[in-house]
Amino acid sequence: MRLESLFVVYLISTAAAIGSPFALRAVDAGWRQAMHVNSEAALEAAPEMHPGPPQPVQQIPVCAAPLVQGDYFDSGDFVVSDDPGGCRTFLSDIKVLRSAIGEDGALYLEGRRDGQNSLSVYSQTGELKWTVPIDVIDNPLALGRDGTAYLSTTLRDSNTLTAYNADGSVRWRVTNEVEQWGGWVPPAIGPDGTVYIFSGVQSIGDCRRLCAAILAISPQGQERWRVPVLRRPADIVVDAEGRVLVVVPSGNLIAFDSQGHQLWSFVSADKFGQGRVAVAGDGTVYFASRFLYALDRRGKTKWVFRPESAYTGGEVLEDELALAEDGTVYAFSTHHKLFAITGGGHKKWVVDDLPPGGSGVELSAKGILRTPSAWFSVSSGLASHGWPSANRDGRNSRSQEAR
Amino acid sequence: MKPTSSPEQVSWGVTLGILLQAVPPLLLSMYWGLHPSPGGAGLGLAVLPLFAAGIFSIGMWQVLTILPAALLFLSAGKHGVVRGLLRVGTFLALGNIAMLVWLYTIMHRVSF
Repeated sequence: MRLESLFVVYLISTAAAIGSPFALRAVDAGWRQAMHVNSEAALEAAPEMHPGPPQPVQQIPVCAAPLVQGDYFDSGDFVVSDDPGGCRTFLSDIKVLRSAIGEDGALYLEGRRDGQNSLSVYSQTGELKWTVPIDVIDNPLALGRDGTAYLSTTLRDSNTLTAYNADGSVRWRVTNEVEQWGGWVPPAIGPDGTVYIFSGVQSIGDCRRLCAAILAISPQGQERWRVPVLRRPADIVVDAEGRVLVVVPSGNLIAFDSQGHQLWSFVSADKFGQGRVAVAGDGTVYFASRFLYALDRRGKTKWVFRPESAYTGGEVLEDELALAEDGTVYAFSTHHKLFAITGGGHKKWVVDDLPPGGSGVELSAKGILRTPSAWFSVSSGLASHGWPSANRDGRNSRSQEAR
Repeated sequence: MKPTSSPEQVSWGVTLGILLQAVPPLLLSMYWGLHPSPGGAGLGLAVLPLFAAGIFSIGMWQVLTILPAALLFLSAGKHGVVRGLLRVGTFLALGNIAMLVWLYTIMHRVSF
């Protein structure tokens, strides 16, 4: 090739190399703006926002305990009250890390008491009913409707699920001896009382050592079945028909029937997040995993809700959901926006000027919608069927039981 | 001056072109060493976006390295060396485009 020609080729290719990052960026930006998102106008105006912690407008039996355990570390004492004017009753003898509230209002508190890890149960007025020492505090407990408390404790090389009777006596224990990856996955209780937990097991399926599994334990403490999962799940929930839904990061949702047979699996567009799931009374599964997916009983997509900045600003929906009785889905985005989405997948309203604060949404049975930094009064309370939220209801009862 | 060109010169040009690619990062690291930030962390953080852009813009580096060298050797009549330099430059530029497209494809898969 002649030198002049070589020079021309060199200059053209070099110019292309210099310009290609800009060209690709422009193509990428155009692509992102062309993607379908829910940028439509909201169907209605958002309800009036009340900044700050919610002042109860209706009687709530017990002040909701925040999910973040750091709140307890800071203040030290758990705050409870049956006073609608505020939280005034303090339990000074326990440093609470985790809590649940029974249907009778009893407080189940995991924390440090007399220098020891304990599970302590208090009446609504703050009287100690019973307390038992526990090894570690690393898992939220689950409460059955019959008053049984299920607590999963994880040591380095074992995982133990303990069932406590309503008087604090141990009904049974199930232990799996295998190295663990940590807790944080609360047990879920099916409508027939079966308890579903995550545990490491020795061998299952194609896995020969240190395997992740979902175990089904009968109310009598007998193992009914176990199925392997890829890794530690983010969440386990059960719907009213006994389907077990397991969220396996990132972006996988697997449905099993009550016998442990896989019904379907769904893979979202999420590559990094944890994912949260809630189930409506009609069996519709809502999966917050980058976008909000509504899935029918067979795991097929009914609709997908994508926040407006999903592609251009990385806005995702991955926080816990709350389902209202009227079918509205409440979701919190990483851009600190609160979305109300209709059961048909349309934007009902959105609040994008929330005061600074944490993320998350909680809905009471009487229609008080709470975020860590503001609250709203909405027309419909938490759904009474399905698995409508992680907390079960606005009292933070966390009974973790399908109904 | 009579222009000269030989396979040996071309090889020299190729080698020189590759070696010259080390010049921009060396200059940048020297610059960071000579201009530490008041916080003591070096100016690296401030220049980092520029540097990061540079990593993926070999084309820009060539403008700063191969082009001046090629013009210098052209004026000296060393056409073989110029050919070697231009071949390396063309290869790196096209490789840079291919790498960018590949990276974009990966990022596209992750974020869509």
